[in-house]
Amino acid sequence: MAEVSHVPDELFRPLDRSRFDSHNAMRPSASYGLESIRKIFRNKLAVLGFCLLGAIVILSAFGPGMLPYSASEQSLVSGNLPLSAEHWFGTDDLGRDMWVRTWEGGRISLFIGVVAALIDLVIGVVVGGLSGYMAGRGKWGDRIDNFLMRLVEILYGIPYLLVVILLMVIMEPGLATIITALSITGWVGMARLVRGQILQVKGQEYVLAAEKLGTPHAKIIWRHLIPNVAGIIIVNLTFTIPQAIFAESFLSFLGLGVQAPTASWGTMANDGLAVILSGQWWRLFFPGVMISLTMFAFNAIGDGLQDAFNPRGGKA
Amino acid sequence: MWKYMLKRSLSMVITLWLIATLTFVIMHLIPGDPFATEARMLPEEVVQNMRERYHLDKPLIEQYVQYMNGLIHLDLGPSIQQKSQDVTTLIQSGFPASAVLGLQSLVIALTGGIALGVVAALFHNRLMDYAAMFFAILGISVPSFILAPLLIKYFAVKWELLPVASWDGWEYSVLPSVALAIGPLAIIARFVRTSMIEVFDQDYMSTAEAKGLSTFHIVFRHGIRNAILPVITFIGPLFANLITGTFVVEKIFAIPGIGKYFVESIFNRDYPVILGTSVFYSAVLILTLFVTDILYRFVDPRIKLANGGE
Amino acid sequence: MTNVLEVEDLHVSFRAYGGEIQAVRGVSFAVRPGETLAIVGESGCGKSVTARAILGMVKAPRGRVKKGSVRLQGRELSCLGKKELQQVRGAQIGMIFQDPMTSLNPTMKIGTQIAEVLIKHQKLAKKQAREKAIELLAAVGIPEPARRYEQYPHECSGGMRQRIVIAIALACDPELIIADEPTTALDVTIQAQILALLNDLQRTKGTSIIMITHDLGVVAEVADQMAVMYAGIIVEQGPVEEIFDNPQHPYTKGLLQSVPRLDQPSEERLIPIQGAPPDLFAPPAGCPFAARCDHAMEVCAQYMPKSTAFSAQHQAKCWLHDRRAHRVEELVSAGREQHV
Repeated sequence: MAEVSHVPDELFRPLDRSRFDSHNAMRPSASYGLESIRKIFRNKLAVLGFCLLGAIVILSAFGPGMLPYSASEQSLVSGNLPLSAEHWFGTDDLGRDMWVRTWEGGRISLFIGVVAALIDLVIGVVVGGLSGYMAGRGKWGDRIDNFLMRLVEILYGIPYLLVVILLMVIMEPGLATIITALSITGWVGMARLVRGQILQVKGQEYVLAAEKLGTPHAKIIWRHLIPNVAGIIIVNLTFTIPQAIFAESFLSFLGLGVQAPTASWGTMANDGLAVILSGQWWRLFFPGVMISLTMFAFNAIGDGLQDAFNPRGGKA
Repeated sequence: MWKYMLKRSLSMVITLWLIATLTFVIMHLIPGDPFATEARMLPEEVVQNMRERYHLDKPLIEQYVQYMNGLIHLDLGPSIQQKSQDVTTLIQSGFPASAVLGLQSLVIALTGGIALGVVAALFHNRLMDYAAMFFAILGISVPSFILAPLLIKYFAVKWELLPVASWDGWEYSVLPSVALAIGPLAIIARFVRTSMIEVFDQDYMSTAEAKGLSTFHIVFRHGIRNAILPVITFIGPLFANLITGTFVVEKIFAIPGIGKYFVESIFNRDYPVILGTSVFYSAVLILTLFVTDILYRFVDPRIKLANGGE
Repeated sequence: MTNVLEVEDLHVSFRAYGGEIQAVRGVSFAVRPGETLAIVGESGCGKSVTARAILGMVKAPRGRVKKGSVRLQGRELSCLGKKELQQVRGAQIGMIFQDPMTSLNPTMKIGTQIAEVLIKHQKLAKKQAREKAIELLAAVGIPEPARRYEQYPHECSGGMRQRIVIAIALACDPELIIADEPTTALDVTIQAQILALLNDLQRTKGTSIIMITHDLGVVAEVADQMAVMYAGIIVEQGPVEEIFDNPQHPYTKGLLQSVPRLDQPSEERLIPIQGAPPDLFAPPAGCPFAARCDHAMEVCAQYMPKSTAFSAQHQAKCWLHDRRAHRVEELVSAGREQHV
C-alpha cells in the first residue's frame, strides 16, 4: 500500500474509464475440450500409458520386419535358444524366433481386442441409445425401453466369461469365432452406460431449455447428447479393449484360443506356461509382459480419461 | 421390503431357468456325436446302451424335460468321461476346496483393497496415491495365469517360503489365495479410492472437521462408512471374477476344486460336467447378487427406512 | 474487555492454473464478547474463505494463509499445530455451514453426531453425552428430542436440520460461533425462526457470533457490528446502525440503495450496481470497486485507499475521504469536468 504522502495530488481527478478497462486482466480461459486434454497430459500415469501403447502398436506393426525371420520359420537345431544378438527374444521349441512371433502375436491379440470391443460399442450404443432416447416418448417409447432393459438385465446376470467359454466349446475355436463369442455378451455393459448417460443428460435443465426454445431435435442430439455421451463411450472403450484381450488370453489358457499356426499372446503364454519350470522363462515372459503392459496402458489411459472428462473434478 | 424380496426372488428363478435352458441348448447345438470315438471301437449295442444311459436317443424335448427335472432334484446327470461318477458328486467333492480358496481370497481382496484405496485417497495426488494406483493397475493388468507361475517360481521353488502342489494344510492355501485375490484387490482399491475422494468432498466432512474431531475419527467414522457402501454393490460382479479366477488358480496350483474339474472337462469335452458346473456357477453367482442387493438395502439407512414402512 | 476474536491483515490465496487467486487481501476486524458481527458481501468476495481461515480450514495444498494473524482471546491461532487446532474447533469456536441438506452425515444418527463433540471435548461418557445432546435438541426448539436423537438426517426437514447443526455448534458452549450463510438455503419463514433462535441463544449464553451473509435484511435483524467485504478487502466496517444511517463507502451506499423497500412505489425501478466484481486472479492494484464506482478518480485505479475513521468504531477505505478529494466532489456537483 502506498503511503499517503507519496500519492501525487494531481491524481485526484475523475477516472478516465476507457484507459482503465483495458487493465482488467482476463484469466486464460479454456474450452471444455482443451481443458480435458490438458488434464490428461497432467496425469503422469496416463501419459505413460499413451507412450506404452504407442510403442506396442508401432512394434506390432514394424517389429517383425526388424529381424530376418518369419513367424512360422522352424529350425529344429535352433530350438529353445535364450536371448541373443540373432534372436532378441530367444526361440521356442520349434526354433521359431520369439521376437517376430511376439509382435505378430501382438497383431492378433490387439486385433481381436479392438474389433471385439468396437462391435460391442456399436451394439451397445445402438441398444442403449435407442433405449435412452425412446424412454419417455409415449407408450411405444417406454415399451421399447422396458423391453430392451429387461433383456439387458437378464444378460447382465449371466456370467460373461462363462458364456464365452461355453460358446467356444461348441464353435470350433478360430479368429472369427472368438471375436463373435466375445462380442455376443460384451455389449451389455456399454448399453447400460449409454442409456444411463442419455437419461441423465435428457433430464438436465439445459436440454429442457433447448427444447422449449424450439431447438430442432437433431440439433439437440448433436450439440447436447452426443458430446456428453461420447466421453463415457470413449472411457468405456478403453476398458473393454483390455477386457477382450484378457478374455482372449483366458480362452487360450483353456485351449479355446486361436489355433496353431496362428498365435496370439494368449496362446504363446499358454505354451510358455507349460515349460516355465524347465528354465525357458522367455517363452512365458515376453507374451505375458506384453499382455500385462497393454492392459496396463489401456487402464492407465482409461483412468486418466475418466478424470479428465469429469467436469467436476479437480478443485481449484 | 418383503414385496421387493419376492420380486427379486422371482426374477432370480427366471434367470436361473434361462441359463439352464441356454446351456442345454448350447450343448445340444454341438455338431457330432459325443460318442463318436466309442462308436468306432465298440460294438453297436454297447454304444446304443451308452446312448440310452445318457438319454441321447430320446427326442430333444424329452431330454430337456428330463434335464430340468434332474436339476430340480439336484441331479445333474452322469459324467461322460468319468464313468463312475456323476456330476453332482463331482461338484460336492470339489466344493470345499473351492469354497475355502474363494472365501480366503475374498477376505484378502476386501481388506487389502479397502486399505489401499483409503490410503490412496488420503494422499490424493501425492506420491502415495500414484504408487498405490500404479500397483492397483498392475494388479488388474497381469493375468492370474502369469502371476501364479511367477509366485510359484519365486516363493515356492527359489526361495522356498511356502509350499505348493498339494492341499494339505493352511500353508498350501496362501499362495493360491494371494494369486486369486490380486485382481479383485486392485479393482476394489480403485473403487474405494474414487468413492473416498468423493466422500472427502462432501459438506458433512467439513462439518466433522469443524467439530475438531481427530483426522482418524473423521476418516474412519465419517468417511469410510459412506465410501464403503457402494463397495457392497460391487461384491456380486467381483464374485464372478473370483469364480473364473479359480479355474486358472486351481489348475496351476493343482487344487482339487470345482474349477479344476471344470477346466479338465473342457479339455475332454465332457459335456454333462461342463453343463452341470456352468449351471452351478451361475446359481452361486445369482444367489450372491441377490444377497448383496438385499444386504445393501439393509445397510444404507436412507433406503432401509424408506422401505421400512412397507 | 478483551476481544473474543481479532483478525489482523489476513491474506489467503489459492493456487490455480496459470497463477494465483488472491481471495482475501488484508482483512482486519475484531469481535467483542456477546456481540454479533455480520460480514456482508457478494458471492466470491472472500467472506467464506475468511471464516475457514479463522478455523485453519483453508483447503490445502492449493489454498494457504499467506500472511496475517488470528487471535482468539488473545491466543494466536495461525501458528497452532493440527492437534491444538482440533482442540479449539468445536470447543471454543463453533461453525454453522450453509447447506443443511448436506452438512450432516447421512449414515450416522443425529444424536451421535451431536454426542461425538461432547465426548471429544468434554470427555463425557456415552450416556451423559446422550442426555446432554437431548437437552441441546430441546434447547434449539426440536420437539420430541429423545425420538429425534435416534433418527437419521434425511428424516428431518431443512429447518430442523439447521437447528441440529446449531445444536452441534453450541454443544460445548463455545466463545464464538461462525455462521456461514445459515439461512440462505431456507425459505423465509424458517429463516425468521432460525434467526430468532440464534438471537435468543446469544442473549442467554453470551456467545459472540460472526454472521456471514449477503442479505442486508439478516444484518439488520441480528447484527451489532458489520463489515462490508468486496473483492477480498473490507471496504467499510462499524456499528450497524451507524452504517445504515450514514454509509461512507460508495459500495455500501450502492448495496443499501439496491435493496427494494416495502414503502417504495411499485413503479419505481430498482437501482442495481452496474458491472461485476474484478477477477481475483489478477486483482487491480488500486481500489477494487473503482471500475464500478460513480465517483472513481485516477488515484483509485492506482493506489489502494487508506482507512478513514468516522467514529470510534466506524471506518471506511475510500479516496473520497482524502482531503484532496473534496475538490472533485465540488467540481462534479458544480457540473463541470476537470481535464488535465
